[in-house]
Amino acid sequence: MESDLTVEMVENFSPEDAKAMDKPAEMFYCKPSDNTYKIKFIRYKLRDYDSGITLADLEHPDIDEEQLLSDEIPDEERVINYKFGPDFLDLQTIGTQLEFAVGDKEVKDFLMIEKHYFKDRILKDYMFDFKFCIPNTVNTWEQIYDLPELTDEEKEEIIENPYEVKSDTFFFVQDKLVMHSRAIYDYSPFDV
Amino acid sequence: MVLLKIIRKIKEKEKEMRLLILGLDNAGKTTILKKFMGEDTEDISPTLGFNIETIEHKDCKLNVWDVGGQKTIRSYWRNYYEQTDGLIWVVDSGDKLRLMDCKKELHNLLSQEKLAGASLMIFCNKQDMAGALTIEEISEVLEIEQIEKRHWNIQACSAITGEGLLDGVDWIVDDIKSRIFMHG
Repeated sequence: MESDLTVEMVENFSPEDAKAMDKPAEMFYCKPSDNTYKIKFIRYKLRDYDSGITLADLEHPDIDEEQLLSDEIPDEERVINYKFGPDFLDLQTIGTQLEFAVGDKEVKDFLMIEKHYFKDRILKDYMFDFKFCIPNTVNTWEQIYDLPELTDEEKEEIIENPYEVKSDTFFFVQDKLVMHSRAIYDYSPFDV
Repeated sequence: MVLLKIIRKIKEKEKEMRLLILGLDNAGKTTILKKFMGEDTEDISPTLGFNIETIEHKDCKLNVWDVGGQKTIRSYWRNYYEQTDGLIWVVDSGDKLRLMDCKKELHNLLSQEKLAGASLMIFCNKQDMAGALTIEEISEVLEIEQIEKRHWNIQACSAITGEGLLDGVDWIVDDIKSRIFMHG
């Protein structure tokens, strides 16, 4: 599919295109410098909703504007790697909290579309309309949801195939793609 | 946990419900939200933008928006009115000096077209503090009896102890449900 993707298609990548995707992207659909609203992730927190235990709390390195918008970073380094371990697949309800800052421009019609895949199968997809962000503010969004139900065979397959779980997160402002995050996930046992 | 009780009440018919929490700065909006979510309520700093909680359970979804209340950002509140099913207005029951400000902002909000019809729950927060005004006293200053063409209710609460929170949210969710049922 990727080979059919023309530059023009990527340039006009719309929320409709994102909704229609049925397999993980193999490339970035926009450049860091397309983030003209200077949306910056500050922190990502993951908790088990049933026990309240924090499973991950990742603070993004504090980078300046020049680094944030730099197109010099190789694509491989832009892909985020998560290592969760096999127990994660047994969780039922989780809360993911995203903390982000926005620059000095108003962000109108701010929309996020995220999809998670295992191999070429969609595990979970969702959309969130942030509506509006006040200039120069820090905002948080927590989403609490049930993890997809998986059979023991599926769990085993996921554990045995590290980084075959992938996600794409697209952020649009007034239907224009401003950010694309890609992540890959490993659920194999931690090295002891 | 408060939240699961709420989400269980939202049945297929509604699918998605949206609550907006507003009030003057330091009223305790974020603390109420954190308490709902079973999160730590210590070390909460003033909200400059928003805090959103989305809870999905089976096919239902509840979105709760808490937008900062400082004077400089109140003019941005209007960006969040659309599709609001329920409005939660939080009052600092100990802040006697700003109660008139609080009344003015509340009535201004209620005159907004985009919020027409939204159910209103007024939380008289910080009841655990000495010298807190009672809900009768607050009702009188805010002139809530004059609110027309809207379902409203008022509830004493403490975001720190959690007292009153579930009753208040129970009421607003039930009220939204009954409205949707009647008109949907």
